[in-house]
Amino acid sequence: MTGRRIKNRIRELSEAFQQDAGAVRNAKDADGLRIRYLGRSGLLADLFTLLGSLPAEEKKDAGRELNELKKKFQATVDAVQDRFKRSGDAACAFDYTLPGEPIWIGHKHPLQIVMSEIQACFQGMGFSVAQGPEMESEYYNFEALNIPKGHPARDMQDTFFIDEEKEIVLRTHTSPVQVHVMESGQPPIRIIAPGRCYRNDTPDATHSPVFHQVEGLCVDEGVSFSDLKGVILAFARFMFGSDMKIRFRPSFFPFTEPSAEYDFSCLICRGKGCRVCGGSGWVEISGAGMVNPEVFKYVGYDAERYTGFAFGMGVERISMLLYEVPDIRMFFENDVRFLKQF
Amino acid sequence: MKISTNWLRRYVSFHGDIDTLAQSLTNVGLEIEEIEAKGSSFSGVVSGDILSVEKHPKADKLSVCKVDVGGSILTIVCGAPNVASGLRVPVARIGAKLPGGLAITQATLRGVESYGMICSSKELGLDGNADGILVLDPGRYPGPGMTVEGENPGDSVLTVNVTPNRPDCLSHIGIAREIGAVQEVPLRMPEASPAEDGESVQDAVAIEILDPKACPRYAARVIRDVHIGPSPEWLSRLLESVGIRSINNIVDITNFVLMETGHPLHAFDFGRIAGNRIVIRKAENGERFRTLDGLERILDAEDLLICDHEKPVALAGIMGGLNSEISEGTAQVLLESAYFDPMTIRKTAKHLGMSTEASQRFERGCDPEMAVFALNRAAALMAEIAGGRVLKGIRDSYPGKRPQVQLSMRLSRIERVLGQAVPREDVVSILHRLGLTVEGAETLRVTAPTFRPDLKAEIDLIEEVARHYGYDRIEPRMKSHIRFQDARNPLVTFMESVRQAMIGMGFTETLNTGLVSAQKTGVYGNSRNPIAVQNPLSPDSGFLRNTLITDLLDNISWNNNRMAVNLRLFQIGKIFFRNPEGIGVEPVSLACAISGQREEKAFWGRPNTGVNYYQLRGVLDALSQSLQLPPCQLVPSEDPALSKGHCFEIRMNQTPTGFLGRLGQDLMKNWDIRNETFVFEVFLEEMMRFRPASVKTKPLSRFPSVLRDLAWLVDETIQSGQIENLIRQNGGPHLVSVDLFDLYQGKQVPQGKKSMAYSLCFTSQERTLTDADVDPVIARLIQEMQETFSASLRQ
Repeated sequence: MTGRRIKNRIRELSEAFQQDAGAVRNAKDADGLRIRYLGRSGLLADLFTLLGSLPAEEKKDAGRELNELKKKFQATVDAVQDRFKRSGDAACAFDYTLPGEPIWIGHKHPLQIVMSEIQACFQGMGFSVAQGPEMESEYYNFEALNIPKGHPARDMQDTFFIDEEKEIVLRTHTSPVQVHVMESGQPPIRIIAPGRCYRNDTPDATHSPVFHQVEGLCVDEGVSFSDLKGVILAFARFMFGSDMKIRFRPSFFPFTEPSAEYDFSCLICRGKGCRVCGGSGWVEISGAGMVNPEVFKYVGYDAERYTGFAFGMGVERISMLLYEVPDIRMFFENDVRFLKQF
Repeated sequence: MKISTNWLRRYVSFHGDIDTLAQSLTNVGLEIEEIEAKGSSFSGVVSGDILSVEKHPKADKLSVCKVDVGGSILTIVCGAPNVASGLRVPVARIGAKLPGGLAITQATLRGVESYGMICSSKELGLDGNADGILVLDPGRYPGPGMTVEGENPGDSVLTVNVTPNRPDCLSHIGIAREIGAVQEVPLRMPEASPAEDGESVQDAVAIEILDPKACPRYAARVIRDVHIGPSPEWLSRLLESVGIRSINNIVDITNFVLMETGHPLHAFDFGRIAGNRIVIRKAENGERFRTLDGLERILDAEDLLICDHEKPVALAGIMGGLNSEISEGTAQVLLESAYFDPMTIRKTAKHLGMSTEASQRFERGCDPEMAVFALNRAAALMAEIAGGRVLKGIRDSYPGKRPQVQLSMRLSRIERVLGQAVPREDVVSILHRLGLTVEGAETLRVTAPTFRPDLKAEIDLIEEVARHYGYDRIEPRMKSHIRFQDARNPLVTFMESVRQAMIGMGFTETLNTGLVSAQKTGVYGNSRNPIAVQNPLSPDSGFLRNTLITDLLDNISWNNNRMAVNLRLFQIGKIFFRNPEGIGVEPVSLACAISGQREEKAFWGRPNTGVNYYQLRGVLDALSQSLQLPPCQLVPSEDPALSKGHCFEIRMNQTPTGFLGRLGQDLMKNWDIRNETFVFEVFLEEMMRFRPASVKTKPLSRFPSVLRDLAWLVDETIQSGQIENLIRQNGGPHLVSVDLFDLYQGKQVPQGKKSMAYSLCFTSQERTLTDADVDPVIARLIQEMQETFSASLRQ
């Protein structure tokens, strides 16, 4: 073997490679090209083995040429392989548009979301969370709230009885928690009591025999109706936005005096008047008032020294307004198509 | 309570339109729930005197009139043929609204400015013809400028939500008094002095009250020679406007006075009262009495009866008797006006299930002082309308007369309660307008009228002041005084942590009412003795739930029926049952269910499979881990909701906290659930006891760990938990974790055996462990495994 023959072989190989490289149509062809020319027993390797038979002075020169050829082949093969990898050959293409793995998503019940919000609001004003039993004695549910036996106010709340003889009822409101809290400590008191309540109401779009209330109570020296309005205003704005207005109207609850029903500006029309609020610009929220001194008598507080306010709110009512839920029963049907929206 | 605005006008001349009136009543606590317009209505029409009539310069059929409308003279162009000076006519002034929505504006009629319209009766929506203007009756409209109401004016009926503390407002006079107080206009009481004729009532009838506590006052009159017949139109129309059917003149008068004064009356056919004697006594147990509605009532010793010499004739304060009812043949009337004890009436009304206009008022507390006024008012009307002869005097037995309530109110206290001062003159003015008498300077001495039984204490007066002063005028205030209060509640916080953990694991929270059927509480019937509601809404909501699992089954079934079959649901709430001592308890429970396929939606990358035990067990383990609770142990057990052999008690530090397993076949069938379902239920208060007060971190080792993987061939009956326990017991002080990473049965594993591969991790806090530390431990483990389970190490 002579140096000249080697150089001829190099030129022939280079030409053949150009031709083969030009004929590559897919990744498989590209792979074949690499194996044929650059493989361990490929055409280039054959030429390298021939180098051994050359005289020393020619070996150096031919070796340099072969190495350059190898570099050139490698660069071309890499480019060709890369091209076919990226441009949609079925075996290798990466379909980034396929759906990702589905993950289960949990949802908090809307009423719980709203209760958490209410809690967050009042905790921000220093109210702590208190709880009481759902099976309640008539004493706590009525008497100690200044609703004695035979009081017509008992008719306002259709009561479920658990044991009429032992005077156990399902609490009709969260107000009994007020009495439990006051019995177990002295003022200052600032609590809210979220929870379930029960009334013997036939279910319809706005009534459910089971519903949720959040009760609030604040007792201290110097607590006034003005403070009550301040707290309710803060709540209205926290919950529904800083343009909310509140309205208090006189009402009657045996355990508060003066008593009020309080309204918020209509959430739909923001007070301008629309179909939802019947044109009045207001929506009714719930009841509130100053703790009746009679209630303080039951828990042994000095009604001269302390004054207090109490308020309630219906969680379903607020949720229906907030989320535009047309029927209270949807909260208890637990249709996942509904729950997954929250 | 339905209130007719036309009826109201008899007692108070209020101003403003009906909407404004309704709003001002709502603002003082008499919420108007509904306003119903009756007939036609118009506004802005006043009486006017035509001073002169001239022909229109450009139109033959038109006249130009000068009309005095009281204080001003208007030029009005009129087209009516009968217009003439000297007539008193209805004038719609500019701004007036006529029926059909016509609004009167200033107009130019063929070059002449006209400032109003002279109306015909038809234009006012009244009877009559349109050809001519309506001429007003000077008797009814004695001067110009008076608001015209027409001969048959439109009425509005307000539905007032009267709170139970205000029995006085269950009447037109009561509402009129509040309107008077709001608008500062006087209240006009109706005429109530009947012309008397004939013998003294003292000779005609005797009254004997045997129970003065239940009947503090009983007053009566006798009216002879009445002519029973239909009521005059004005009377029947007023009654009908507030929803009361007209019956006959005598009965209508008692109803009219009831709706007018709020005081219930009863008219007996005196001819059917035996012995000219009325006795008020309690009934005997089991005594029977037929009321006006024809029903026989069985009474008890608490019920109060009005009797004659021989028999009961009325159920006091609730309903009269059939035996003494006013009928066509009635000629003599005994008219009763009494005051009964509210509790007595309430008890009877409740146990007999009766609620009448009379009982509702007596229960809330009538005014004993109103009894004679109402009696006189009705007697006068009976003389006038039914031609009766009212006997001289009143039979009035009044053993229970009470002194008027005297109260004191400090102006300073008003400020303390309301948070802002109300000027003394405002306070006094408000109380006066409400019919209270007031004396004194800083501390006011107030006498409450008898028609306000709700005014018993200083705070009641403060409420009156606040109500009429205006809640709107009390400024909202946010006081800033910093005082720390721990606002956390451990159970509520724990429940929220559980909720968040469950949501994080892809579970959706549900909420059920918890009022369930006997069938549902029957699932746990014996172990959780269910609690019944004594007066349920329906038989299928007669019990309090004693498990949350049945609630979740309801949820699954509901959603399965709506094409949602792959579900992960949970619920947190109280369950209710009687403990072995028979005491009702209400622990907080968490229930969790997985149903259908393990993935909610199919994934193209791998097949979806049905839910299984290990999936739910993973949820339980993850829950306890994320809440820093000790690991749960599961022990084979039995549970009524779960399949035999697939049911496990959950224990935490040996304490039972609940159950986990596969839903039982019976329940699947009952709830029509066709997909595989696994559930667990735990008592959260039990679990919460194991929650550390706070996390205490363990030091992190600075030295590398040594990992060893070991695979054993064991008998297939050996349980993983047993092997894990053995490894932990013999793993030495440096063993920190044991994880099963492969479980294999099949080729290369002999029949009846399984291959279990564990990854063991050893770490020291002091130094880098070497083979010399770990090898002896591994050797011991291999030996123990061999001796205990005949396990051979797989090479």
